[in-house]
Amino acid sequence: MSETHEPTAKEEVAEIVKGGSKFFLRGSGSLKQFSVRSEEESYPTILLEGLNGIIDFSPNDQVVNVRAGTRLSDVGFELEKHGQSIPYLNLYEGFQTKVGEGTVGGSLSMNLPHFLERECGTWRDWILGLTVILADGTICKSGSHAVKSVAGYDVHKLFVGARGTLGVVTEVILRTYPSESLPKMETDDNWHVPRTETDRLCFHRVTAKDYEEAWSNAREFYSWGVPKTSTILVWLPPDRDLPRFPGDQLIRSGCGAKNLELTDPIQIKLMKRAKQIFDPTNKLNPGEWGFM
Amino acid sequence: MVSELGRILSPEQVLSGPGAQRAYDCDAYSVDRSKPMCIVLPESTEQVAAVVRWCAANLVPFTGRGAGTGLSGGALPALGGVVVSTKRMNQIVEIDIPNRCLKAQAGIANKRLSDAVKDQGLHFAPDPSSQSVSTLGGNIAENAGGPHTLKYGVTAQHILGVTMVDPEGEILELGGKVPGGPGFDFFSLIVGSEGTVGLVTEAWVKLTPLPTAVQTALIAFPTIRDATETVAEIIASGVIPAALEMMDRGILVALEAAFGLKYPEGTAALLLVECDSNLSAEPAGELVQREIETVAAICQAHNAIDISIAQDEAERQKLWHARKKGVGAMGRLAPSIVTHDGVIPRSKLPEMLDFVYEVAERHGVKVANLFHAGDGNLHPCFYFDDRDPKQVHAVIEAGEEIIRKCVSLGGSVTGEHGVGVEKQDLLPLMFTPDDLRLQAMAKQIFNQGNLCNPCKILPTEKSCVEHKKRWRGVAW
Repeated sequence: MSETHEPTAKEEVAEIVKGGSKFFLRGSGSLKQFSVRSEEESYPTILLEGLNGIIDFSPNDQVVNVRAGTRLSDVGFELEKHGQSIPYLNLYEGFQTKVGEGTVGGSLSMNLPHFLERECGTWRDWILGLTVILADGTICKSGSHAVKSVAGYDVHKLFVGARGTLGVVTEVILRTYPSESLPKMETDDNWHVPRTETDRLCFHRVTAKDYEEAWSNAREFYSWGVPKTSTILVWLPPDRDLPRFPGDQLIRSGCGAKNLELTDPIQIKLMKRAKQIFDPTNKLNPGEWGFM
Repeated sequence: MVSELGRILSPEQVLSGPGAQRAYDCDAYSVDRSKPMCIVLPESTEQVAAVVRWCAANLVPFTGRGAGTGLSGGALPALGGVVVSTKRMNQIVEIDIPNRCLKAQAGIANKRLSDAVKDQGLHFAPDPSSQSVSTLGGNIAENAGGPHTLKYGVTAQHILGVTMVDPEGEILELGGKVPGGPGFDFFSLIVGSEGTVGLVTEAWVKLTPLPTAVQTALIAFPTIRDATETVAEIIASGVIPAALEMMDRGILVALEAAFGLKYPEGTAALLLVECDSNLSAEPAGELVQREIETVAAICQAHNAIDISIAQDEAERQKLWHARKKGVGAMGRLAPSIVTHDGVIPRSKLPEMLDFVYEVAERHGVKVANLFHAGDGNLHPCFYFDDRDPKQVHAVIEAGEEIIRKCVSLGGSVTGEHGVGVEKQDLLPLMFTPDDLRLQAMAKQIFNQGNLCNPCKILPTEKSCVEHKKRWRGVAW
């Protein structure tokens, strides 16, 4: 078992990052199944759960500034006292995943689809700013508390879905939503089909036109469908793949090495370039994107 | 240069000479000017790429330009070189109604996108005030806002994919018909990058159902405080209006002088509130009715002296005149207007507006306010005579003081107009050198040189110091 750092302040994170050569980042671990880290290698882990708590919350502005290691359920509890929420929270409630236990930083770093995406958008639409520790230990911030700003590049959005490979997110400023105005979740479900331990969870998003057909393909497996965003969550046996459609996206294609199959050469080229600029020595979450 | 570019495109696609240079030496931010060597009018992504490759090979700077309505100098060719105009790239490429999206070239006017799908009950939601002329490409570059962004979001939320020519002349396709693909979100960096990471030539945009029910109200208040406190309370109540705009007495005076529009006596401020819904017709009507009643009750509690609710579309248009004709009316009051664009957290509006009037008075300048109150996005308009250096100086000082206050309240130096060349020197108010380095790193992913729209956004562009001095010499 490798060394584990448990910082409780962003300055500590900066010192740790500055002083080491490779680190795995970890929030609550609730999304571990989506990780593609190599199992042979083991590096010191920076556990970010100690960076928790709301820094400030202004219900009248509907803006919250929260430390990245705060559990979504804890943020939700505080916001709900003022009738507000992050629309991500309400999604998996009552479902059998552990996303609600995840941390703010982990959830935005993984950027998984959710059920209210069409009405409320997703992390890139909620994030107004953040504080991040770069690979060289510099503490930087981007954005502000304003709900609308075009002051410079929206670098904070680059960390959404980056899986902790560009920097260590320590604080996040998010817009919140009045809970009362949130729409009801509408899903197709197919839970009676048994699934096994080896099945892998995939997220398949197709165009609206192809949704019905894609859903019918998924029906033989344990699955949910979200018609509004034409997204299907399906547990597939190791040897099965879903039929593809023009213009679709496999947002996650399973666990382990199969998790992320990026095929677009332009996307890959730009990602390599971004990694080269932000983390040239591959210090942060090595192996998290196979091709880098 | 002209003849070489003429060979790459065709001679009539290249403009040069003093007349053309003058026409393209600035955008709607006319304080700073810089002449391009020539202007090209490509008709396709491939032609744009060919021009950019030529510029890259010959180390010639290039700057993209849509309709030139930008308010911060984004389309200003700071180091001269080539202006790449999207004027001839104004076609809709594909409309996909079942998937509610549309692909168009960058030079198409914003409003034409909505017009094209109106009959199908859809529209392109971002609606900057310049939408009848400002282009899709320009809107993407500036991440344009507009009155309806409060509910529907700014341009970034409505772009699904782009075709972009990078600073080396390579064509990149990012995104597509469905959002949320895996990998880094480069898209969010491109939208709002003010044309500094490449030239967007085509885009897939999201189409949004038109509202099936709308209620619009214009409310008059006896004091500014009553109006600003109402705004904060509407937001806090959980109602998200489609638009929540405020106009103060300065605007009303201008509207009356210019168009003879009359508002109730004793009005210090007007709020325009629009609630809408695109749910199926019946619940939408009830929902919107309930929302406007909540709004009206809040207004009454804050001493509203008049509440007009539009009974039909004609009346709705009339209520909107107070907002839409405001800026034009200001033109009657003074030879010059400078409009600022600061943002603050919405609950700070009462405090901030008081400060704006206090600053204006202290500097002896005239100010009128019409702005996106619901977003906390201020637009204090100073009107003055630019032939009087004293007045110019006072306006600049007052403006900077207001922007500083916005930042100190947790806001931003610009809500929707962009940084361009106008706000470069103000960015350090919000960001430390380390924060700015983070932004420079992001830019570097796409643009490692200084040819693609140079001297914009970041205040640290060293090769631009001389040019800055030259422009600022004119302005200050």
